[in-house]
Amino acid sequence: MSLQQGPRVLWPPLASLLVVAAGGGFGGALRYALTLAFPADAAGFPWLTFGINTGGAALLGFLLTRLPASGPRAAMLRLFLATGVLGSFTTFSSFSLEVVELAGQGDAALALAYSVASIGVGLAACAAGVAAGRRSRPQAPR
Amino acid sequence: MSFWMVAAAAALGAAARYALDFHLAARSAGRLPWGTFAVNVSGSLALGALAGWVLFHDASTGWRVVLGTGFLGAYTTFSTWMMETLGLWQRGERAAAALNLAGSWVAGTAAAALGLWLALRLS
Repeated sequence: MSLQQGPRVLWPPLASLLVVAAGGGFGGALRYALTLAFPADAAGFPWLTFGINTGGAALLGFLLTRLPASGPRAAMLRLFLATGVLGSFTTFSSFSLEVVELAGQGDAALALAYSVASIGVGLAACAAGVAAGRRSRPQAPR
Repeated sequence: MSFWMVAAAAALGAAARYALDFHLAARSAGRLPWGTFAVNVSGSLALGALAGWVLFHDASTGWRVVLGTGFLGAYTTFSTWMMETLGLWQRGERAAAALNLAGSWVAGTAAAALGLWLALRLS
């Protein structure tokens, strides 16, 4: 057991949880609305989840790069928009289950293609978001 | 199932994700993304089980929507997984980035399959 100065905070403060919850309700509701607007074809490529996940990754890359690294206002925006909205808008569980369902239908090739596409495009989208965030930051005065 | 129930479930899922991620980061000095891994794999297991349960019991899709789309959809996160992988790579932790990618995919897919199998088996 290590000796530490002062108590270690092991759980987030309630205020932060509420901010995340508020953003999360919004992000999840948005994703749900999209699933109603674009019902999935169980046997085909899961385009909606793919679009949500890669689009969300791009937005997150942009947001976290664009926001200042410190300060209470930036922290609050990060909790609401990043952890809350985008964290809830995108979904890993649907992705995993869809891979399993595609494989279970006997279409292992599609399951693999979906996995590779989601990850490959997801990473590229996130990196593009980061690059755009860097370009959009106000330049520091010389 | 009302739209507001899905939104409320999502709010809870997001809060649960944040709480667990915060907790695991606090306990582990926060260098590796164990929190995201934990929520994503446990959430995939739960969604697999939910899908199996709904399938077997021919239950209304309402439960799958509130618990699956709402809670678990918000509890798990794809974007954070991508961002944290990129972050590891950019910090020079190439092996950790690759492991985060492959490990989460393998564990998540296996968890969803296991959940589905268990639910059908135990129903």
